[in-house]
Amino acid sequence: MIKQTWLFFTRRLIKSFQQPAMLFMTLMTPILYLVLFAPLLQRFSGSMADVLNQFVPGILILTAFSAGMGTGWYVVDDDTQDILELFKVMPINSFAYVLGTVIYDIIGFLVPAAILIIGAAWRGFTIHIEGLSVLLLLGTVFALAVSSLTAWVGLKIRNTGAVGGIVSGIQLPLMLLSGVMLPISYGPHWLRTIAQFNPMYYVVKGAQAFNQGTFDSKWGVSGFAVSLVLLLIGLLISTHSYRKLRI
Amino acid sequence: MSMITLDHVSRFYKEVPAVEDLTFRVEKGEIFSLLGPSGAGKTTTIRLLTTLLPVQSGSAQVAGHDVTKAGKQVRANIGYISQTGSSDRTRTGRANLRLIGRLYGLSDAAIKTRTASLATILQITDILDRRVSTYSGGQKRRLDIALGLLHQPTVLFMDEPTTGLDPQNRKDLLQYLKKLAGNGLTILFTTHLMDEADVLADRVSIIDQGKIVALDTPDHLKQSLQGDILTLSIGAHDQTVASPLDDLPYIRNVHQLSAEDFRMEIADSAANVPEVFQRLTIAGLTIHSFSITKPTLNDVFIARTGHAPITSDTQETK
Repeated sequence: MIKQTWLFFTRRLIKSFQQPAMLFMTLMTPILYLVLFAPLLQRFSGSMADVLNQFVPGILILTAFSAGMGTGWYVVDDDTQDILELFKVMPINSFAYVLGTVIYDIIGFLVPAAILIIGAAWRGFTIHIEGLSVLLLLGTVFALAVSSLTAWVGLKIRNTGAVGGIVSGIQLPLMLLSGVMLPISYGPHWLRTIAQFNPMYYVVKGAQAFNQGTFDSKWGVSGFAVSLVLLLIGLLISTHSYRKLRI
Repeated sequence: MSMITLDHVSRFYKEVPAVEDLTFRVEKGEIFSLLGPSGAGKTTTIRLLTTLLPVQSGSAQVAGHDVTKAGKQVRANIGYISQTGSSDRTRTGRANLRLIGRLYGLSDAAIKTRTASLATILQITDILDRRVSTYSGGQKRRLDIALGLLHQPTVLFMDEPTTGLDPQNRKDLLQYLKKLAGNGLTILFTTHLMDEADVLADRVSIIDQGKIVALDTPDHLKQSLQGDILTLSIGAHDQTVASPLDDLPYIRNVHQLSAEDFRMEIADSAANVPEVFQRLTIAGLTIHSFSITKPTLNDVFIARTGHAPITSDTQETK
């Protein structure tokens, strides 16, 4: 199973290099937030360093979310090309296909995250090595959770347009209700109440706590708990869907 | 030794039977064809045997393993070439073969040797390092076949294997498949091409509307028809040729192929055709053209199902 997982991981990695335009956009997106959005927040927070210290953890989690979103399309593409049909008649472990495809998003998250961190540090972002390491671990788990859940959506829906609609449709409210762009505390009571039901809210709050070097806050624990539960559920249901897939 | 066994296998989509009560065996080294028109249930049968679909009733074994209870063992023993092909268009032919070989657990050396051998036989050596998206339909089909054979399966399933191949490549492939069967590979393939089943298959199962309507060697199936096939073209007319020929004992299975064309089985054609013509002339029918041919599997299909395999607008008249 480990060998098959590795083969599916490297397959996706190689295929990502064959789409340079997509690769470029993935790497550029966090930079665009940094350059085109962060300056707007300076009005609220004072110095750019303060802005970035508040803003970058959230953008890192958003980067993790974006990294995981692509898996649904990838799986549908395999299905559309009838590649899944061939895999399904081979002695392949169902979990190996899902896991190998999903773990690509570790790289899909960490590479743009590194670019973002370097760019932000250059403009004043304070790096706490330990805090940032745990934050990146949290982002990685979250990226894998999103990836496995979108893999499930892809395997269930099996249509590129529909997967795009669902994933994009979910992304915007989750992002706005997570406090990535602006703190949720700025909002009215009803908005703060709704945000409590958004899993990404806890991940963003956890990331912000870790970035400040706080490791024992309830936000850090809840961020990891939410991500791990989502990852477990995502892997289980996507593996089940692959196994039950009718060609 | 039976490599494929079906025992009263059925599969339904909602209430509609896709295949119903299929029972047959395929022996080691045999080439077996499922012959029938689109929608007959051929692909469903292959999908049941390759574990892509669960068997709903009855039982099936492939390479000695039950497809329901031991799917993994079945998959380890089979090769599969789907109707549309399953290669990754964004990668090269060689990368496709390497991935499939590694997923089957072959060593890199074995993959290299097998790739070179199959590429030579299937004439794709020159294109192996190009992306599959640049291949022609025939080249892609040959790569699909290489992907299905790379791991040297004991049972090979092929769904319409010669789709997209030109006549020479088709002929070469059929010869190669016969050679593989000679070395012990069991092959089950679907086709709607009567001549392909006739040339390649040791035994043919004619399938129509999910049911097997005939199963035997191509020669036996053709011999089951009475004598020759007489095809007549008469002018547009209100009546059919069936009535004037009704009482002739050597005429069987008269089918109207189109408004003007009819086909029938005729015993001892050399002696009996004059009387047929005489009867039709007396009935006021003008014969524009006729032909007398040996029966083909197409004729067997018409005789057993009552309709032509491809078009649906023919009708049985006797």
